Amino acid sequence: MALLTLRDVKKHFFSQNDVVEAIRNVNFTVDTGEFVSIIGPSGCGKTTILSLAAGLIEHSEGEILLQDTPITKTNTNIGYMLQQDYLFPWLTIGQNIDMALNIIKRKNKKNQAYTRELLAQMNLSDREHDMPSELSGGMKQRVALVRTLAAKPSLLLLDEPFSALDFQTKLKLEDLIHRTLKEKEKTALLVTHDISEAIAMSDRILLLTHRPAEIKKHFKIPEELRERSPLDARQHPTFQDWFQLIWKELENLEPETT
Amino acid sequence: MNPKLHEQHAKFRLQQKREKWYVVISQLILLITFFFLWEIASRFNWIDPLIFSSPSNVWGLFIEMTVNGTLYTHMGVTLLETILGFLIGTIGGILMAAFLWWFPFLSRVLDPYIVALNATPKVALGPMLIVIFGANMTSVIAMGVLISIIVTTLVIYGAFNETDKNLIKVVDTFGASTLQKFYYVILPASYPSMVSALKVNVGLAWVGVIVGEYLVSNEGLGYMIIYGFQVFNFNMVMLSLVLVVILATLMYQVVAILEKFLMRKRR
Repeated sequence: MALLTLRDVKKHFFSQNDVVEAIRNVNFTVDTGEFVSIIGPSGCGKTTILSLAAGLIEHSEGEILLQDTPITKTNTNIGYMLQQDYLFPWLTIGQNIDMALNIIKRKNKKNQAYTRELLAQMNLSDREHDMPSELSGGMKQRVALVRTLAAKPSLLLLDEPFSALDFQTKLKLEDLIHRTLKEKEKTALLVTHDISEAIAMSDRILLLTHRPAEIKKHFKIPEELRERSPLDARQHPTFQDWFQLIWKELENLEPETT
Repeated sequence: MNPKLHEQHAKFRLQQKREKWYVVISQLILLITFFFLWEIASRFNWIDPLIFSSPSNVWGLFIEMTVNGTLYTHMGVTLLETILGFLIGTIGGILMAAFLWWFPFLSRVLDPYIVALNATPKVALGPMLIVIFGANMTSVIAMGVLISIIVTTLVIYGAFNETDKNLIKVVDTFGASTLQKFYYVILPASYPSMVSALKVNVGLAWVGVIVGEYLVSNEGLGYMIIYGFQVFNFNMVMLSLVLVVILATLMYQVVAILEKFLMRKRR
């Protein structure tokens, strides 16, 4: 069943002198429990699609549905993870997580216990009273994940959450996030420019064209890669073939027209 | 630790301690020399003792005014005015900045007027203040407020607007209201700017209050300066100047300690 539906979505940005066509026509669905990645050249409008789905900005035309309800404003059913952790530097780790509950006005013992349990799953229980500056980049991004999950969203929008990390940390975090999301039966839409990451983590991959964005190609990742953890999938013999395939498609994109 | 290293460490610590003492002693020598030279120069008529007074005369007046109690009144009045001017200026500036942040349209409308007000030498408005508030303490406090409130508004409003957009985006994704955004992000993110505004405003409040007292008052350290000048009692002018320097420095130090306390959790 489709959790997120984008139907004939278009987006234009206005400035005093220009109308910029950011998204020409995008159609796709993400089913419940699915992990879908969007890849494409930089500046093609990937993040715009996430912002639209999150209800942070309005689309110009078309329909965006969460289950059957149109998304018009932000919704606690949708969690958003940014490129960096963006933890509040003046709050402890625990307070940073509680901030999410405060804002959605659902701070109570039960929800707090839930977030502390998540923190334990991220191996960060002992860091609850530390300040963000005392943690490494990977740890902070794990805290950011807990903060996003605190509102118990059914859909997670991930905006290149691994891009600011070193390679080793990134691989570990991919595994951890992948496992956590599968366990909690969360649906995820990941935006990335890293082909390997997309193949390793996703069930499906959407390839976007240059701006104005359209979906150029649709890849269904086979069972043998999907059932493996991202780290194991990278070791699988077919992984390189998929990488080559998608790499070629990316290379073959028409050069930017505008 | 190996004994040789230990010895070197002890030597290093002694050296550091000694240097610290040298600084303090030099500072004291400088202070004493200043007063000593002032006294000598006055005694031997190198400077006109009628205009530049002398430490012994200032001290004499200090004792006299302390005994008859008038000094306490003058100091008390000026301190009260300065503290009130400082508090109202700072808190008022922060409130005005919050107001402007809340209503972006208003802030665009008011922008040129605020810039003009900021550029205006506030002291020029002194006579207006006296007409509005009357020839009393309120006018002096108003001068202290006026001189600090506009620049505080501008600085804090700037800090509000410079808050990391991504931190705001984080709370936006949770559907935060404007009030929540302000309370949870904007205000704490601008906290360091507010604390440093405190330090600047201490100095500004002193300027405003002393000038205010020049214009209208019959009590206070600024009044003592202007009155002493008018009756050609420069002992009084010098005494008041010395007290202003000491009190302003003390107040600045108190705010500096407060700043350290308020910023203890931030790095």
